[in-house]
Amino acid sequence: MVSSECERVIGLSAISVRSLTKYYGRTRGIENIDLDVEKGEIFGFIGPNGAGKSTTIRLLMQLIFPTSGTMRVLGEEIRGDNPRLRRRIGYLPGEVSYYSDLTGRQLLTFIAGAYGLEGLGRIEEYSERLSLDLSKTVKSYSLGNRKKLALVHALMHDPELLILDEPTTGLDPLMQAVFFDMIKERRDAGATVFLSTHVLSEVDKVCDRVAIIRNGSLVSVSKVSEVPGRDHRRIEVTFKEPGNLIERFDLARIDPDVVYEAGVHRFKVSGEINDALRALAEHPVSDLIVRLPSLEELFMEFYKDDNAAETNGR
Amino acid sequence: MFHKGIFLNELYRSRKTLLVNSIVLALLMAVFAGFSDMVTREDFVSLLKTYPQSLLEAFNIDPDIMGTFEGWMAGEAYVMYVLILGIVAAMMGSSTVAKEVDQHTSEAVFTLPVSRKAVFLSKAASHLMVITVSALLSTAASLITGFAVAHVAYPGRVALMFAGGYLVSLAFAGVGYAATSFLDSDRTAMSLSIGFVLISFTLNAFSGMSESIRWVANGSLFHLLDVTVIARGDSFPAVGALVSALIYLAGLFGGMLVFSKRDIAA
Ligand SMILES: Nc1ncnc2c1ncn2[C@@H]1O[C@H](COP(=O)(O)OP(=O)(O)OP(=O)(O)O)[C@@H](O)[C@H]1O
Ligand SMILES: [Mg+2]
Repeated sequence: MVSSECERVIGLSAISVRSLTKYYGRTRGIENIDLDVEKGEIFGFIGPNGAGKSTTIRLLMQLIFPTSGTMRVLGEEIRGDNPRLRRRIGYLPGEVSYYSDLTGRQLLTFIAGAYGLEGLGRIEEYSERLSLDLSKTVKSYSLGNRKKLALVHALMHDPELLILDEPTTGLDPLMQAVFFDMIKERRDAGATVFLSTHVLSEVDKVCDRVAIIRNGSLVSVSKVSEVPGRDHRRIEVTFKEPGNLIERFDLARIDPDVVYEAGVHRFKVSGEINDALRALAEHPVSDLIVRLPSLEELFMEFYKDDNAAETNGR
Repeated sequence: MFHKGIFLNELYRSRKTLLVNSIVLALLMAVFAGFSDMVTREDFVSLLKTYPQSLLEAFNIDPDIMGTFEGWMAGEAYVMYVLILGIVAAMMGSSTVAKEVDQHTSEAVFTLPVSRKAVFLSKAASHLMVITVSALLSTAASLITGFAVAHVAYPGRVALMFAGGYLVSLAFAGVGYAATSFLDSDRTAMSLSIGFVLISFTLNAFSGMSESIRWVANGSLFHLLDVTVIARGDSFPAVGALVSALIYLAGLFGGMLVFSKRDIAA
């Protein structure tokens, strides 16, 4: 029973990684990562600089090989160089350059040839949607245009799995929207998307699930709506009385981490908020806001903790 | 193991090397060939014979064969030919992977659905094409100029000599292939290539100065193949040719195997 359960999970996983560890000499890249990305989902991968996102992605793309652990991608275990498997993946590198003396069209034609595609097919369509001028040389492209080129490269062969390392950096908001439309289309066509990003509103908007990586280890994997702390209410109160009233009103009993900022007292409350509201109502209130935290806020706090921990550790 | 697209792309990217190197090398060989008649005159040769033996050997000059077109080309033109072709070959070999990593094109190219071995060999095939075309053009330029302004008695020996130099240059390329996966900067690859060929040349030149340091030459790829033997018409240094070819192939396939298993630097 256990084994059939396993098979079922493996069958549904586009990416399945076990105890994946990568050391660069003595530098830690990632350590003991277990991760499953299901077929057909858009999966976000976030974490501070140097956390190990690109390391994980470059392992999945066979650019580097693990120190230990296993990786299964689209049902195939990665053991060394596997071009047939790469054929089924669309990859967008975090830092990408192309042969600069070719025109966009020459370059994409070369790439299309490597994928065994006939003619230009999807290339024209995607380039048009991203308003990318293919007649110019790669050299003359701006950062955003190079990113568009990389997107067309990643998407041209209708891959089953898209692995994208910070796909939207460098794209203007309009193009970001076009890009998200494009990957949602791919998802609707049955493809899986695995993307790393620093823009958390993106994760909020498009991802089904999100993994957080920190110092080379996964700290949480959850649905975007269930990210830890997501259901904690934020309460922002302005009292009629001016100034910092934390001590005078003993506000720390509501939330020990309460802060006072520009006339507003900010609380984080988990679970029931009745007690908090009752306590606040003991004093004359001029304004009160209760809301859910944005993903951005949660991660800002998360990252800050991380930095603090790192600094203390040294 | 061979991918036409990668081959053609690499060839396109090497087009400047191909053009410049072919023209420069062919012109240089033509100039050497053109001057041969002035040098091979009796009085010059007898003047050479008054020089100290060690000095002559250091510069690979053998007055006895200097009097012929073949001897002059083997003694002087050949060294320049191998120096230049060898440096170009070593640079192309050593930049196979290093240049892609340096210019950050590695991520896009090495994740294409083409095996790493095929990428490596297809690129090497285009390098072979460039080196071969340069070598053929140089041979042709020497012979044509030789026939036009000098006296070429044995065109076959001249061609064999150039073929020998071609093999030595390929050996330099082989060393480049063996090293390229360990380099992540194109600049380093280029300087190492130039350095390696020049040191090889210098070792060979030094060893000619004294019998006691002749062993030094064994460390030099220039020493692999003695073309003055060809010029004299004694024989073709088959062992040297074979060893050169083997160094090329060993470097090429060894480099390919290393590349297929190594991490690609970010
Ligand atoms: N080629 C390398 N050699 C040595 N250390 C490396 C190499 N690549 C990455 N590292 C180290 O591995 C760790 C993880 O880096 P990685 O690039 O995976 O982070 P990341 O999450 O992608 O960060 P960012 O958000 O800045 O892109 C870092 O500590 C980094 O210094
Ligand atoms: Mg990164």
